[in-house]
Amino acid sequence: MKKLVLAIILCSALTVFTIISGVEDGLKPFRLVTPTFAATAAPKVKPFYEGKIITFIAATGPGGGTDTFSRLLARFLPRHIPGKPKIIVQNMPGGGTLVGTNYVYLKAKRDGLSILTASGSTTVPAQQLGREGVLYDMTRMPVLMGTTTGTFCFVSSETGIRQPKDIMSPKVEIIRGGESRGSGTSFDADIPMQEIFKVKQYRAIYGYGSMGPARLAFMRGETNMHSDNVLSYQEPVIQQMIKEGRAIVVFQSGMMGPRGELLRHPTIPDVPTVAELYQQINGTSPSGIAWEVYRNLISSRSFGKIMAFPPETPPQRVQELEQALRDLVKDPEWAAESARITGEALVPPLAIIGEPVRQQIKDYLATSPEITRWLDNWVKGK
Amino acid sequence: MIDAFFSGFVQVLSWPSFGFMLIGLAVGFAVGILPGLGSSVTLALMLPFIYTMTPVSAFAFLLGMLTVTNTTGDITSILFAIPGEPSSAAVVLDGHALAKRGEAGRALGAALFSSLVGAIFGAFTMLISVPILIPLCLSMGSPEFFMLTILGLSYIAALSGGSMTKGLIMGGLGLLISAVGTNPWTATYRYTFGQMYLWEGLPLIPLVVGLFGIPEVVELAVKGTSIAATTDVSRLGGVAEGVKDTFRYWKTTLRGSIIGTIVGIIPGMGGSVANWMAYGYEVQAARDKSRFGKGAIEGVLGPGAANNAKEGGALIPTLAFGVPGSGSMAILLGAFLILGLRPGPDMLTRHLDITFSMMWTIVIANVIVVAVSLIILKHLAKLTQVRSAIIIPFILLLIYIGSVTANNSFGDLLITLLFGCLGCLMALFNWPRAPLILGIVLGDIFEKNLYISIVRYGAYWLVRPGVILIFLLIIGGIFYGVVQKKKDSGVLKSNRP
Repeated sequence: MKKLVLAIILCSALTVFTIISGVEDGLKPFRLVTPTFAATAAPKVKPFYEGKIITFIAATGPGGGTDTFSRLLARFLPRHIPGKPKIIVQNMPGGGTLVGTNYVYLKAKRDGLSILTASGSTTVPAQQLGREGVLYDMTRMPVLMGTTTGTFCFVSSETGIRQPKDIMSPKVEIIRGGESRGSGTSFDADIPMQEIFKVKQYRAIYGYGSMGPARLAFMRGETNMHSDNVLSYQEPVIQQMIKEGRAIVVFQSGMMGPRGELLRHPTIPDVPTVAELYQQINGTSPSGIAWEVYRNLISSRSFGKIMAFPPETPPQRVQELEQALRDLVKDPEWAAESARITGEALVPPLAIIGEPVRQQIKDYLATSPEITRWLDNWVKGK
Repeated sequence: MIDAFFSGFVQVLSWPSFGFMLIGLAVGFAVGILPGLGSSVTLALMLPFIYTMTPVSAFAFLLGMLTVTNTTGDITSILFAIPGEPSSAAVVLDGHALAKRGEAGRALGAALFSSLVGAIFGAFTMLISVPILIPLCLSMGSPEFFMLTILGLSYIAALSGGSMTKGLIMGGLGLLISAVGTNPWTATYRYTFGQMYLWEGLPLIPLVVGLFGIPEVVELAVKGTSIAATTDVSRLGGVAEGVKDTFRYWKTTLRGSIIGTIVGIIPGMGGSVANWMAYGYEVQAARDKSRFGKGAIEGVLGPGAANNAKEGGALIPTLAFGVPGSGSMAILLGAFLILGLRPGPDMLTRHLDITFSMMWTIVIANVIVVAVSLIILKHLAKLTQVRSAIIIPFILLLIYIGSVTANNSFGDLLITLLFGCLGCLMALFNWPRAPLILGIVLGDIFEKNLYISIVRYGAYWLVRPGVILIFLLIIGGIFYGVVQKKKDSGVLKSNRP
């Protein structure tokens, strides 16, 4: 009797073991019995990513741009990678974006299964300015893709401004509310206003924390100029203000073209870039150190959001992922979904894949020390 | 308008929206009870599930979840003095004191029912949001926000529990602690001692959990009894009594709801402020302040109502201006984009039925959760009878899991331990802990808005009508307190033979 019980237990344990170890592994013994079967099947190398899990390390907390970007990619990218791996998103916020970026650069395994997703327009300038806590070198990381971001500025009708070139002579002092000196919008709005156009009646107030409270401050008349992400342009709140003539859009940051020229962002094709507005006001093209700094900053918007492998990841993994991304941006469903969720389709020219984006990061960081010094002093208010 | 009002109701109750709401409720219930895993993190994790849902279903799912975390977050605050969410921290003071007196059932009943009333109040204020609340929202600027933080800080006097000096010192320390991190206008680091961990300031949950949770565990270990001092926890009618209290002290519940809604409307005030403002106000307005902190039911009702009412308030700027009123609303804004909706005036005209469906979701979700909770509350209250040797490891596990799940950071554990020690010392030497937290949650808003007010308006911000109005409110509150104290001591003297 005892032996019977023992046997049953043993048998069930074996069954369970077979199930656990996977149907495929469990069938192996049978393959030995029918070798002709296996031989006739086409000789196929198992793709590296088959049955694997890729982890995206998003360098921000849940919610917000980088997180949305990561989760969107995690949904659509797997079907274009040979072997169809799963992708999971792990948030690693802290120190701006430095905690996550440092982690991937220093500690993440170099096996092609860890990928950093971060705001490139934060991590790269942080390295350029030598900010405290930067332990990485972006030029050593195989950046797989960068997507373009941009901003635009509008003023209240109470300033007496009716068209963009009126910014030189407002009726009242122009006051812009923003996050902090050194934030993206401070570069895009304050450097042109103070250093390129040199508008005398202009002041920026910092400390609003984020875009939302700054926008509300504009709406209630506490400030009369606001700078926002191009994606907000289509929002009904902003469209209504423009339609009613309460807000006048004056310029946009634009984006860098393939030959280093400043182009209008495709989401807002009617708004002049800073260069165009300067031409309109002064009749010449802008020049000088402030303009060089500004141009360099705009070039960093081509990698607004990036995904990057840790250094020393096998080149084959880099190639596979880049190919997957090239296939992804051709996928009409991706174009439709990314447009629906982030506001614009993340396809070329807004999405730059592989070597071109790495070159842009290198170019950005290879800028003259003079430009870096000027920017550093400007951020510190010197 | 009437059509949209009822159509929203029907849409929430129709299939599959109702089913999604129930799933949302289940998730929210667990998240609310488990400390640390905050509502905004959970919302973000749930976003990918709504891609294929209709707007009504998606908001039934997400808002149902959000509103429940606020309600059930109070449960661990009361039972173990571990707040499940930063927005439930103020309930600890009197809620846990009640539990120690053996009245956990009453406290839980009161917390849940005041949450229900607060949620309904907050949701229905959306009805009057177009004519009244939206203009109100746009008429308050940085100077008024600053004055509101001063109003909040004036409650330190009431929360000091006897020694004003100790209260002021703690409030000041709280303000200093809130300064750790990044300077909001220059983005430079201060008090960070070269530690990247401190760049974003001290995290609130590990700090509060340590400050309130650890001393209770130590006390429990020293006493060696169960949490409730008495053996009969169903004394005083338990849960039913708490439900009755909600209506017996209806003024407190209503005040909490109003405070919660107003704080919710102001973007950047943050979810952790509303419950402390409501608690502070209750103590200041009370005739006998000495009861607070020892188990006054008003100390549960006010913050309980406020932390739920604030969600309705926070929806208003989110829907009308696309500006999130709180952290969880910022993530809800992401949901709008996924669903192809753009927040703005359309939400109050063309998509009014969706707006009303959100309102109904908050109401229905709270009714369901309170009904379900009433069944299990009696059993939950019995946890306070379990003897310390068994319950302490369980509470410690909750404390440390709670503090680490927020950021998965080792530093959070150290913060919990550090503030746990501080909390023990403060409890031992009778230093009030509420002013410290008040200083920490208000410090950041205080600093930012003072800076903006001065840079924008110079000295003229002092003469804005809103600023003067709030200033008079503060003076009135302090004066009222002083007069009452004099009167009471006068009564005492005259009673002396």
